[in-house]
Amino acid sequence: MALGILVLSFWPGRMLGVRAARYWYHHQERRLGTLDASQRPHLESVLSELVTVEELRVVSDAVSEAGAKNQRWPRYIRGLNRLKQKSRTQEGRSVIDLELGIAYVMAATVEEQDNNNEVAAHYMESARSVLQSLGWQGYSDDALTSAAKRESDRREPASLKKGKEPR
Amino acid sequence: MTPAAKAVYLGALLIGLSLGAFVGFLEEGSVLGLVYEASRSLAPAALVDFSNMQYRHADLEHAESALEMTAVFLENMEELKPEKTQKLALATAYTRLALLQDAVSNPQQSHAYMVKARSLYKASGARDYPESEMKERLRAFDQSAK
Repeated sequence: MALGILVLSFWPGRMLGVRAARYWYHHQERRLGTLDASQRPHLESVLSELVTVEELRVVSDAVSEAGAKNQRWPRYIRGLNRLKQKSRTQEGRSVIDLELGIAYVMAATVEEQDNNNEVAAHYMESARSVLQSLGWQGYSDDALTSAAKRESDRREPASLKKGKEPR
Repeated sequence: MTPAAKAVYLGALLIGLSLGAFVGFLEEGSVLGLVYEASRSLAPAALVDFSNMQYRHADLEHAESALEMTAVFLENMEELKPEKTQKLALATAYTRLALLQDAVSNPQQSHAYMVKARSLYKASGARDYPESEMKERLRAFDQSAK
């Protein structure tokens, strides 16, 4: 009977421990920093949005490594557009826009290689519109493509670079 | 129920609760620690990456606003939790802002940014370089990264 009580009380104890850990971490952060309380909610929103964008990029890279490579950029673009709709911060929206611009260029390159010229042109038009809104002025299509590719290559995982196909 | 039995059951309850709370705290604590660490390093990296790309490709106005936005964010992060790498990233952002001001012949504003950049470089433990050398080093780095 005593053993039963011990085992059964372990679970509510664990839940208590989880809550205590969350409370402790949250308050530890507040205690350590000197940031004004009014600025915290905005900073937390920015952190959360930027981390979500990074997670989406990592997941997109991982999925394309695992297969379904021709879906890499369209899937990433869909994810970024969903995040953009939810974004509430200027920082988050700006980062998402730049990611979108580069992803559109990369998607256009893939479609062009597959001779889907109409789809490629549509992606390229979207890329131009997004990147121009970010101040990438005076770029021809070729220059825009090579700049976006360079930026994408900088961050691409080594395993994806091996194949060197922009899929 | 005898008083001895009551004491044993109460003891079992307390031990079970304490053990559970200890395990729960450790488990959640390790996960939260990783999540906090990841968010504190991933988010600044994403914004620094953004402003660097804008610096390389956008027009002056957009590049400047991206660098300023990053600088404000990193300043806030510094107040939340000061870190060496953050100070270096902030100093680099201010140096790039100074270079942009040089490009539009605004030496006063450029110097104001460099004062901040130098103090941050020093605070991060790096050597105290003169303004011109800091700018030259960053220019050379940006050139090699192209």
